[in-house]
Amino acid sequence: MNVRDQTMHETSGLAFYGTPVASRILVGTAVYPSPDVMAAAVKASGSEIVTVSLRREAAGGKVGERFLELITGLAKYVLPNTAGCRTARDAITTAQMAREVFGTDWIKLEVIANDDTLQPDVFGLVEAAGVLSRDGFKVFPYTTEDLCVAERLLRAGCEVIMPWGAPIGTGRGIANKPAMKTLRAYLPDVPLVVDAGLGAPSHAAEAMEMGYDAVLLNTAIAKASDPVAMGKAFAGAVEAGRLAYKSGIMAPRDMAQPSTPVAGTPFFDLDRSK
Amino acid sequence: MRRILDYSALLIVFAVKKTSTYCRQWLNSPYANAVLWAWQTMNIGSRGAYEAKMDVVVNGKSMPTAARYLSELVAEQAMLGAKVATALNGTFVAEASRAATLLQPGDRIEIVSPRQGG
Repeated sequence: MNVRDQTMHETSGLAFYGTPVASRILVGTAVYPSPDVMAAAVKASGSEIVTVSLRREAAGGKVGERFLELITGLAKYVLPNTAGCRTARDAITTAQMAREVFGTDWIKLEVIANDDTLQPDVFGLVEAAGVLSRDGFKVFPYTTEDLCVAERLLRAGCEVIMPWGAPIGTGRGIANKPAMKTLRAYLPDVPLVVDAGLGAPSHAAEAMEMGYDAVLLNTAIAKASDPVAMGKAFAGAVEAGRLAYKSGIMAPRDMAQPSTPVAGTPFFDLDRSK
Repeated sequence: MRRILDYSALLIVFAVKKTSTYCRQWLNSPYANAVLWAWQTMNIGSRGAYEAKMDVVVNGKSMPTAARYLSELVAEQAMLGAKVATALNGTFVAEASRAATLLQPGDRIEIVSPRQGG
């Protein structure tokens, strides 16, 4: 993407389905060493949106209520997911249950195709996205970097696309950069969030430099030796990456080009061979 | 005027006699027995007439239940008033609809609550 293209994607601020958000980090609430560390790490990241899930409750269980208390006041918005759902139908029902329990029509839609790669089942995803959008949900689909799938999701009613950087929990960073650049270039007005696969703050900065609107992180922060400090590190990286994108990153060159003026270089004469 | 009153009194007496005959006939009919049985069945929970237990699958585990409605099952699981959501055989059942959702043997019920997620 060249400098001129970047101005096309410039927007005054980020909004999901008309809701403006100040922070460009979405943070997961799972796999932290403790609830206290999770809360501190979310705060350190500056995130306004935390992702949550639904799981089976044991008889007489109060686990759900305790968790709900924990996240109340932690972030401005909750984004429930349909993690682990393997069919469109399971995901639709889970979304409906999440809407009732969390009191939000936002849903991070996941339809998982394979237990080892955790790759999205894009066929089930498009189907579920259509059903849920018609049912009034604001769908945040976890998808691949495939442009064709993204376009179908948009047609199904999605107003946000969340392509993976790499498989969930791998921390590899953006695996398919050319396709991710294509996606950004083709969908200049759609909020794009890199969801999954980022491991280091440099990965997040890279996503932001490519013009992505936000990143969704969980394992990268939760599994750091110091999740709270890592939350802060990601906040800095995202801010730097966004600022870099807005500033217009120079195009790479094949050949070296001196930055110090050549004219007037001491001891350097074009006719030195004489 | 008097005559009209006499006639109407006669008519009332006739109507009452006829109705009681119908009632007696109806009460002895199998139809009445069916209605009575249905009424008793509907009141099992409150009256404890007998413990009609059936097996249902709650969160993947098969278990006997005396609950006839989904709301009763949620109460039986000591989750009444808790922040839970329910699904019956893969279909979402809103909290307001649980009391009207009749359970059948073998039904698969999911009862879920908030958890951490990525």
